Amino acid sequence: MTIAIMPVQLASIWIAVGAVHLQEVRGAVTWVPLPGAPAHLPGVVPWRGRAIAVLDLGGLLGVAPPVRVTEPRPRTLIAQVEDTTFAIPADTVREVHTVVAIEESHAAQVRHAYGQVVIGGQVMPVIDLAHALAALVRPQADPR
Amino acid sequence: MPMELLVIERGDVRLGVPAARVAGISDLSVAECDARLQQRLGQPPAAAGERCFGLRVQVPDGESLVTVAGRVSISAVREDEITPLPAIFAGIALVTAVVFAADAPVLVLDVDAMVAHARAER
Repeated sequence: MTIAIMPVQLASIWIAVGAVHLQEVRGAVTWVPLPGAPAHLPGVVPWRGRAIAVLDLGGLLGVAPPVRVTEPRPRTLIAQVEDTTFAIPADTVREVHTVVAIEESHAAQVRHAYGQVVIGGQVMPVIDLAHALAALVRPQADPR
Repeated sequence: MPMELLVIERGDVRLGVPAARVAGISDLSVAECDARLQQRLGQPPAAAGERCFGLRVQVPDGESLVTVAGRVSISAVREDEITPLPAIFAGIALVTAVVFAADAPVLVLDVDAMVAHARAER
């Protein structure tokens, strides 16, 4: 059994997310800030005729400065977890890689990570997007 | 089918209220202007010299006054351009929908939540 993942760069840190969640990769997207919204869900963008939330994954993981509406990131991942679709501003993405296993190691100490992969010599924590989203919707969820 | 939105523009933020829910608009002095709605939305209090308005908003038990600061205009928007917020924002903000526009998006307010907020602040 293999696992498909996509490497994503947030500021200077590389992470990996399960390709199963990915819907689309777009360029820089200008988002609309929502006053009173949670810090890591700061706004919305239009996508396929509807509004989807912006997920500041770098800020949520504590690996990148908060996203700013005046400084759009060069790439935007559109991802879906169950019925929720969201846009993740990112700096770089690479093509989807297939790995045979996700290793347990220190990289998993990054919040919401459940293991690591090594791609091109780069160690990347693998982020559980469902867990990250659950923590935003239900902040009392156990930190991982 | 177009829908009229009362647009309150202040700085780079544009708030929209369905015009059908607004029974009237009156000029207010800055001394009368208690723009707490906008303060809750992250904007500063009304400044000296700023235009202030009282919106008489229709609610099930009559009318309620909501005061706002800024420039008020009416804009016709196609209903399919009014995009509801995703469910993940339910109950978080007073905003229920967005009109996406490259130059100036409009945040459409939940009128009933807005009135409830205005009454609670009195």
